[in-house]
Amino acid sequence: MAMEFSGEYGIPATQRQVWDALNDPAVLQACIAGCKQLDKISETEFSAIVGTKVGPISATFRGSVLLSDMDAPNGYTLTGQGQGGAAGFAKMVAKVSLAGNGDSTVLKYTASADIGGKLASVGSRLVQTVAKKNADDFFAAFARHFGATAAPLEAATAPASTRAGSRQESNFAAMPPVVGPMTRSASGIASLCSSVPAWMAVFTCAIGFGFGYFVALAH
Amino acid sequence: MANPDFQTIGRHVRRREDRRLLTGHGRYIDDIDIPGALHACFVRSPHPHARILSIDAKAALDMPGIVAVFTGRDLAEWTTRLRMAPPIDGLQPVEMDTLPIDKVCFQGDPVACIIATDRYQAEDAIDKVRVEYEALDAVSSMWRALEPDAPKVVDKLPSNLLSHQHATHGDVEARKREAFRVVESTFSQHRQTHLPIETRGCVAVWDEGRQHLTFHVGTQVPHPYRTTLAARMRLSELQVTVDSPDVGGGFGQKIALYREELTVAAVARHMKRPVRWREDRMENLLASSQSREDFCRTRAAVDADGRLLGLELDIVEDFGAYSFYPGNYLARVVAMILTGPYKVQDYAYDVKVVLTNKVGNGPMRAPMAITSWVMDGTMDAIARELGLDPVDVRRINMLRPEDLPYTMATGEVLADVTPRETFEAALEKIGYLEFRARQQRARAEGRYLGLGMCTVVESTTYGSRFYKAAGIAGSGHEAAWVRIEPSGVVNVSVGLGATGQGYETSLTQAAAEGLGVDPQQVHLHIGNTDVAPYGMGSRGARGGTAGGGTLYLCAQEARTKVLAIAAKLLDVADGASLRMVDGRVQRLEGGEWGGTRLTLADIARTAYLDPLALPEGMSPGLEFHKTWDPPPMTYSNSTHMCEVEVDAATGAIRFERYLVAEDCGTVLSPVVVEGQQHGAIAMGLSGALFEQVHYDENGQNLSGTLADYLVATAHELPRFEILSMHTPSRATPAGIKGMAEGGVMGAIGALTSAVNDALAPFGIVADRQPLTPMYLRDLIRNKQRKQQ
Repeated sequence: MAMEFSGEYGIPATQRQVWDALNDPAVLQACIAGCKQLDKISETEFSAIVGTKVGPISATFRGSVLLSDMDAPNGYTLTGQGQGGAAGFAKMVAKVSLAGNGDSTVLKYTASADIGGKLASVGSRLVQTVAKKNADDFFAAFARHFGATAAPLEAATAPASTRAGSRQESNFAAMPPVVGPMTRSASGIASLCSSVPAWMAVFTCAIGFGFGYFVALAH
Repeated sequence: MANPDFQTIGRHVRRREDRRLLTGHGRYIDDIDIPGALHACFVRSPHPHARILSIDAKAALDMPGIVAVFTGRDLAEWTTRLRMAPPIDGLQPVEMDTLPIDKVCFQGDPVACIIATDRYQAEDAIDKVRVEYEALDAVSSMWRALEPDAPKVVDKLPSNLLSHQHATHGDVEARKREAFRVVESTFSQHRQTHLPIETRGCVAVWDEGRQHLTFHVGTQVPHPYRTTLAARMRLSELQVTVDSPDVGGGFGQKIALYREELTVAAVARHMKRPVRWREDRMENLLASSQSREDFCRTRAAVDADGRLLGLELDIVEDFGAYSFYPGNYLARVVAMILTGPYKVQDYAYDVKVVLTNKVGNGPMRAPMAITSWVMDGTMDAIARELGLDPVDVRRINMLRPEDLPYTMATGEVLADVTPRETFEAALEKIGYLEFRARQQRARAEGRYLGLGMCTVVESTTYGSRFYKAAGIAGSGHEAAWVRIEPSGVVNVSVGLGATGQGYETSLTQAAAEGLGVDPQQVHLHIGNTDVAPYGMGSRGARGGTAGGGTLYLCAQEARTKVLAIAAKLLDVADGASLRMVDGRVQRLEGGEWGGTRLTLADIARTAYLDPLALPEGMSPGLEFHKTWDPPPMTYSNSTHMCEVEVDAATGAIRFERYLVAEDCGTVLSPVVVEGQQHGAIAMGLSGALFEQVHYDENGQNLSGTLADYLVATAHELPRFEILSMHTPSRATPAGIKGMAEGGVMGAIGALTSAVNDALAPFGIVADRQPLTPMYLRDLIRNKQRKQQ
């Protein structure tokens, strides 16, 4: 199941500090909950193991991330993939850019992701929301690393081809793509959450966790 | 509903199995306690289409409680491959491994089997089995499957076109040329799954000393299942007993021997230990059989009055990746019986069945479900295009009593059916003209009411001659035995497999009728192949006619012998002047039936314990066996009418009324038939409104929970009004026709017809299901945009 999402965060540090931290495995590992191992294999390649056990699913994501379009300290493109064993797999391409403004930096990313296996079968309705939340959690932790609080300046999530593939569902495809600050208008999603069993909401956090991890690796 | 011709058939008797089932004393697979049984679970592919490069189970084997991990290579040593290659013109032969060895073909395809001392440990070990895949492009729709550059689901086949059959009866092209108009309509049904409350499951017990397998499994077809299981394990039939206990629903999902069950049986033999497996709900949604996903197009050549001159049908069915059944099995029946209650002799069809990277299809209650929707939807389309009343178009085309018996264009013969009668009765009951007036008033208020109608001719009992004519391998016969014990108790059996239909009620009524005893005196033994006779099991709606009919005939033979003994004991010439009522022998004297001193117990005692008192040359005991092959096909018929209101602002559908007039011939048990009517209509409405197996464009199944795969509950469904009619079949014992699937067929047709009637002012037609609010709003919105 394919999806797209993006975000923008203000971080209270200079652009160079942010860039360095984003390339420091120790910092990243500290900011990713459940990160068992994070290795910088080369300047442009990381490998990581992130374990989690949530609800009925115990998943260990083993992933690799390749960085390309390197433009220090302004940004790069990352291509990641992770195998979550029985939980399925995830793939993502994200473009990350930094814009410095004195003592603070604005980080923007746009990502397209694809998930498969149980992740897709069980979590398709909620995964985007939760993935986004986990990305936010990562940046909050990342900002705390600089002794402050990160704030999502503006963010958007959009179902790319989510539920748009088959003939039966062109009703979804025909809906205008959602743009703009979607995370603010999460009330619809909240009501969706309330209509599903609690364990599922918990479980999908695990999925989002996988995303948080990829987004995290980007930086 | 009691029929004066019968003593017990048609009598209102409570379901005999309900006390056991409703008080929690049913015995399902998980109620069978086998000490020391190991637990199996399956490692499944997250990819819809991928090569299996390697499987490494070392880490899993180090975990506590893990006894073994087996893969397709192990199973290939212990079992044969499944070859599905019946000699059917236009059908490609295919084979499959017991577990995939080279590549996986849908998300959820099993690649390894973990055996552990309990299920929790087995589940935990799934994560430790490392499977390396090379992902391949997947075919996620039937339209993609047919493109020349589509990836191939089965590498050895020339394309994804699994089956292609076509036929022309009469001269459709000439009729199209002569026609006032050729009306084209399309119909798309979505992928659904059977969703039994009890998922699949089994326990395999291997007796090493006797070299014998006892396989506890919920199955609709105990004997054919045993034959297949034995063959796939390279055992003889004497080495396998299949025991099907209480089963919590099948709907067609529990017919074929699937790969998981075969794996469990093979592992039990290999390990010489009992092994059990229970499919969880997610597995059931992701990896058990599915059905329904098909597309139909009709082109109807009509005159100016809407009279059908000729008809063309194209079907494309998405069959999924694996053939547990011949690929033409489902769609071909739709083509053969399509025209149903309507007269047309010039008819052509083209049926394509394609492979995709989805779960393999299996027949689901009313595999021909789309039939009646397509035909009545075509009638609605003709009415719409010609500006005629849909009732008039149906009337002008529908079979009248004087047209019967009617040989359909395909050669199928309709006899003893009453579509005209059910249609008119339903119209009258619903108050058609009054509805139209009400509809007009409502429209003036901005409310959109719709009335839908669908007349069903339901193929119920498939005899061997139908299968042969349709190019489908298999027999339609059924078998029964009756044994009257020395005490007069009556034990009976048939080869059906019960999955909740209430056979213990309806079939004991059939046996009791044939013999002349109270149904409570009869006990049905079903599901165990050591006990039951070799019958073809439960499929379609054959239980009543094939099972009930054979048992009725067998019981009649028993009665003949019982009365012959009675004649000897009463010193009358023969049994012709005797009969048995409620287990007591009666004698005709002076035109009046009067009681005698004899009961069935007296006669049974004589037959077993005093055989020298029997008539000259008669063998002792009271044991009877009968097999019977039903006519090529029996048909029931019904007309469904459904009144809805569609909220144009939200697309929500609200039921106002639901009515069915149904003629299913002689009814064995009214309570069972009513249950089937309710269940079938509910299943049809639920499918047309909610249930959808959703694959995304990459072949990922996004409906792995019951929060995604939505099912109607009582709350969403209307009250069902039922008009019962009973025209017996003259070709079957007691006039039984069978029923159980027509409700699905009629429901999806009547509902869609109603929604389209409601939406007529918008100039739109819903031609696919499910009829979600989003879909209906989308139709309305797009139409309004175009008009602006």
